[in-house]
Formats: sequence, structure tokens, C-alpha cells
Amino acid sequence: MNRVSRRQVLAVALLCAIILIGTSVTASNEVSLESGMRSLARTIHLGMAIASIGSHAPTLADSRLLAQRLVNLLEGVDGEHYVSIDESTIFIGMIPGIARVSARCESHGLAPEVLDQVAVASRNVSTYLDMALESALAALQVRGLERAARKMLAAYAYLATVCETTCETACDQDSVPLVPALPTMMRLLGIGPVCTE
Amino acid sequence: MKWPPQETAGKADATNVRIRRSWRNRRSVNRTSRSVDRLADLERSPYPCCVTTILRSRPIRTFFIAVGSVCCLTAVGLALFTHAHLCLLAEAFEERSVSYVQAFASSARLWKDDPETLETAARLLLGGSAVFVQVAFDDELVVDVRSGSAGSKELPPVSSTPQTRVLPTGATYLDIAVTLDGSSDALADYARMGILLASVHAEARNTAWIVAACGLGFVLLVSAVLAWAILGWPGRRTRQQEKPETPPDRAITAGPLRIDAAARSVSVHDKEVQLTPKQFALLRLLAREPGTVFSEREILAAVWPESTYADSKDIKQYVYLIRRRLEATVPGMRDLIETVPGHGYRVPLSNDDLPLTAD
Repeated sequence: MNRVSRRQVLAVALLCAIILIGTSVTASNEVSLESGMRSLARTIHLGMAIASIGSHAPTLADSRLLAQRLVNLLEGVDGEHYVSIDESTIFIGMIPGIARVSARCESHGLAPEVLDQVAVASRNVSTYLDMALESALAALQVRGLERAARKMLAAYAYLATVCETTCETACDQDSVPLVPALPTMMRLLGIGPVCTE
Repeated sequence: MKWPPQETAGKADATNVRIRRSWRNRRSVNRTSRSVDRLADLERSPYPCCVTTILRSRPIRTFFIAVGSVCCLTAVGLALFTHAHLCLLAEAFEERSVSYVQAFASSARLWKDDPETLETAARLLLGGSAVFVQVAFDDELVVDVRSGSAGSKELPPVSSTPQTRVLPTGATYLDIAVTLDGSSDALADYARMGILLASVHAEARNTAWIVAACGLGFVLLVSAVLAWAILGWPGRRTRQQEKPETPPDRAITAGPLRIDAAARSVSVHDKEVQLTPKQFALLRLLAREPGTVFSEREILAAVWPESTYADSKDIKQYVYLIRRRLEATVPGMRDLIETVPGHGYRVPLSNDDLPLTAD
């Protein structure tokens, strides 16, 4: 009896430990997903500001500086076009960030239909970030200030689309955005809005 | 008939002229001898196209005056253009800089509760023209990031209008502050940025170099056109020079004087007289039509066709030189060239008028 009860106690304790570990892992996964999503949203918001300010740069050198900052923000430290300007501003990057968030979403235990919507929004975000990167790289290469400003403005527009900004200003709050992107993802994942523009 | 030839009605006048001439010659003997030496040197010079000689030519002088005028006008035009361009550039730069700060201010307004992101964004602006970025909410400075050149000293008071200020390093910058709430009267919430003006100066300098190069090209082009219009092409000039002179070269005989234009030789009583080309040209002109009086203007046009500086003094000096040479060759032949007071010079027409011999 003692032997049996000891085994039972051990089994129950092992089961409890497994449950506890699993619960804590799930919780930490949720936390890291939420923090990653918020960090990504903040970085995109910062990139929008840089693109917006860069489109008003007084000189071509300033425009190129901000275009390179935007490229750094988009690609991150491991990016192909990353150029270290100063050590104080190192970012993971929006494009690697959305890839990581998308990967975590798949293991987040979402309902299949929600997961499909999240995947669509995630693909849209990736596409617009790639387009923003193209515009930022083009802004780095053009020779005229006005052309560089247009490219930066295009990058801003793509980033604004990621934040569904245009839809927010044009539609009611309850309406569905034309192009679901980051806020849709966050809403589906139960994370509060970050983009305020 | 004895030499000198018989004086006729104008004897008294001619005597007076000789008296005046001899007095003047005495008075300016030194000057005359120096001028004669200078002219003789010029004619003996192996480089007859020296600067002085070139500049005495009317077309060349006109060419240089025209080119100089074009240079001056071009320089003035370019200076005005550069100044206007610099003004426009500075104006456009100020406008864009204000827009730049306003764009940052509109972002800063959204990050009022997120000073960390606000400071990060402010730091991202440094490294270019921006030397410092400040953001204040409710008169409290929440962000103050500066580049190394801005120093750590307290900045001048905030002004609602853009101000041109000087950094401790000596660089000038635009100090621009815009309100975050859109009001323009009180600067309680503001975003402020210092933007270096060096880029404007560099761009203006580059433009000035380009404009100067264009101006130089323009002047060279206009100079070439002027050279073509005023001086003509070298080939055309050569062809003109190769034309046979009118009247054609031939031997001229006037009493004891014999001029062989083809051989460029002058002889009196078969004794050769050494003359320089100008002296030869002058004597040949007078001997071509014996008895005809050549005025100073005619002589100048024939002997110094391209010079605007040659005048009656030169004619007198050359006549003096020719007479001296003639006299040195055959004594008594100095009056082979006769001065007709008030009219000019001539070689006497009839054989009776010509000096036969001094012996």
C-alpha cells in the first residue's frame, strides 16, 4: 500500500509539474508574443515618423540619412542593407519582427479560421514592409531632393497602410479595413491598439 | 639748275617752316633722337609683332576692348546670378527646415506619454544637418539631444521665428522652434531643432563653380566669334597678305633717285641707300608720283595702315631719317623730299627741280 501510494503520489506530482510547466510556457509564449507585437508596432510607428520627417528633409544628405535609418529599422541589424550609423540605435527590424510574430502565432493555439485571418494580415504586413523597404532603398539612391522626398513619402504610405491609418481616418471605428494589417492582427490576438495615428 | 631747287612764291613760308622746324628740332633734340632710336630698334627687332606693336593695330585693339567688355558684363551677370541663387537657396532651405521641424513636432505630439520613443526618434535625426533636438511639454524640457558640435552649454532662449545663430565651433545654424499644439503665441509645448547652414553654403559654392565654368566657356565662345568677326580667320588673312600689292612692283625713277620695288633697293646717283622697310615704303610712296603732294593723312594711311597711334610726328621722324640717309649717301640729297608747308611732302616733279649732285 505504501509502495502504491508512493507511486501514485509521484505520478500526481509529475503530472502537476508537467501541467505547471506547460502552463508557464504557454503564458510566457503569450507574453513574448504580445511584447513582440507591441515592440513591432512601436518600431513601425517610429519608422512612419522617420519617413514622414525624411520627406521634409532640408537637404539630400539629411534625406539619405533618414532613408538609411528607415532601412535599418526595416531590416534590422542582420539586414543586407543595414549600415551602422551610431551604436545607440540598434533595432531588431520590422521585417524579421513580423516573421517571428507570424511564426509564434501559428503555435498560439488559435482557432483555424482566426489563424487564417491572422496569416492574411501577416502576409499583408510583410508585403507592405517589403514595399516600404524598396522605397527607402530608392530614396537612398536618387540624386534629387524632391525625388528622395517622394520615395520617403511612398515609404510612409506603405507603413501607414501597415498601421491601417488611412482606413481609420476614412472609416468608422466598427468598419472592417480594406486591407487587414497589423491592427487587425492585434485585434484578433486580443492585444490592445498601439498605432495611434 | 643748282640744288637746292629755286624757291618760288612760297619761299617765305617755306623759310618760316624751316626756321620753326629747326627750332623745334633743337628743342626736342634729345627726345627726337630717343624716339628715332626707339623706332629704329622697333624696325630692327627680330620680333616685329611685340605687344606694343600688336596693340597699336586698330582691329586687335577693338578685339581686346570687345572681349574685355564681354568679360566684365559676364562677370557682373554671373555675380548677380550667384547672389540671387544664394538668396533663393537660403529661402528654400529655411522653408524646408521649418517643414522638417513641423513634421517632427507632429510626431512628437503623439509621443507625449512615451518619452523613450520620443528621445529615440530625436536621436535618429542627429547626424545630418540637425545639431540638436529639443522637445518641451508644459515648459518642461523632456528631450534634449545634441551632436558633438552643439556642445553642452545652455542654448539661447527659444524664439517663435527662425533665428540664425552661431555654434561654439563657429558654424552657423538655423534655430527653429514650432509649437506642438498649433498655437503660435506661447511656446510652452514646442519642438526645437538647430539645422546647420553649411549645406546651403556648400551647394551655393558648387553652383558658383559651375556657373563660373559656364561663364568662362561663354566668354571663350564669344571671344572666338569676335575674333572671327573682327580679325578674320588666319587663312583669310594669309590670302589677303598674299594678294599682289597695288600698284604692282616696278622700278621708279625720279631724277637721280631710283627705286626698285621688286628688289627693295633705293639708289641715288647709282649709290645704294640703306633704308628700313617703313622708310622704303614712305620714299616709294612719294617717288611713285613725283610732283604730287601727299598729305600726312594719305601717308599715314599708306605707310601705317593698321596703326592708330602713328601721327605726324612719326612722319616727320621718318622723313628726317630718310633725309639723313640720303645725305649720308650723296651729300646734298637731303632735299630730295620736299616739305610743302601746310600740305605735306613730295618728291619734286621736273628734272630741274630734282637735285642733280652735291659735288
